[in-house]
Amino acid sequence: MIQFIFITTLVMMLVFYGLIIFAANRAHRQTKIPVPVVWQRIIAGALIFILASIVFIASVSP
Amino acid sequence: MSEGHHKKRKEKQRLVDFPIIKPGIAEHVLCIQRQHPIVFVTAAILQGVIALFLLAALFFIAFFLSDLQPFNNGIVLVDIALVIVSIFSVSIIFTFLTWYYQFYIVTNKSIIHRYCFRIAGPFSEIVYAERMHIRDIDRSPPNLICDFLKIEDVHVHFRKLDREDPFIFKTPEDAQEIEDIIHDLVIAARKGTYVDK
Repeated sequence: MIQFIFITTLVMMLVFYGLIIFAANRAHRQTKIPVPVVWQRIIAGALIFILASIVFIASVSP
Repeated sequence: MSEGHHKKRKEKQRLVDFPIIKPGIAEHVLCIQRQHPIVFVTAAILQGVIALFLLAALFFIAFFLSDLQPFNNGIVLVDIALVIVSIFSVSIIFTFLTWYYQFYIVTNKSIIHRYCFRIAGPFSEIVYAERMHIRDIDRSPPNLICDFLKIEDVHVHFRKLDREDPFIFKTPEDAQEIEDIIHDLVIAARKGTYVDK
């Protein structure tokens, strides 16, 4: 049950993350201003972290 | 002028060169600014403090309440920590992009607050200076910390018949520049001339 709650929360974060990326792409297409390289790496790192967390919780948790 | 000042001017010129808005006929973009970076920094610090507080509380629970269900399982605590860090990372990315893609724009015909970071597309609050008479412009810091850091809001007041509420530039990067440009626009409008870049 707890595992389900954690995974659901992280999947919700993933959905928000997807919406954020969608909005950022839209803003970039509209303004032609790119997201700074440092923040592109932070965004990619956050995505990998969330996905890794989901895999960890699904595989290791009781 | 210092090298830092040249770099800052170059950064501002680059913002003006980007097609953030589509100016109308005989309309020139005079100034584009974001909110002062302190807005993002304070929000990020606040979120970081909250995340650290929750992680510290988790650490406390792990050591002092280790007999309590379900916290007697270390894996559960690790899972909670992962969720907290994930929420924090998404939150700080959202905060940064909201700040990064929000602009205050002054043209020779209008003043605009433009939000570009939106799922539904960009949103603008536009005040057309030709249709409204600017009564007063003033600058004031929104709080004590901004007063200490010399960061100010710019309030543009119109005739009550045109617009009751002032147009507020909230903590822009350079409040003095915005006030000077709008002041020049008002003078030029009264003389019947145009301000050009």
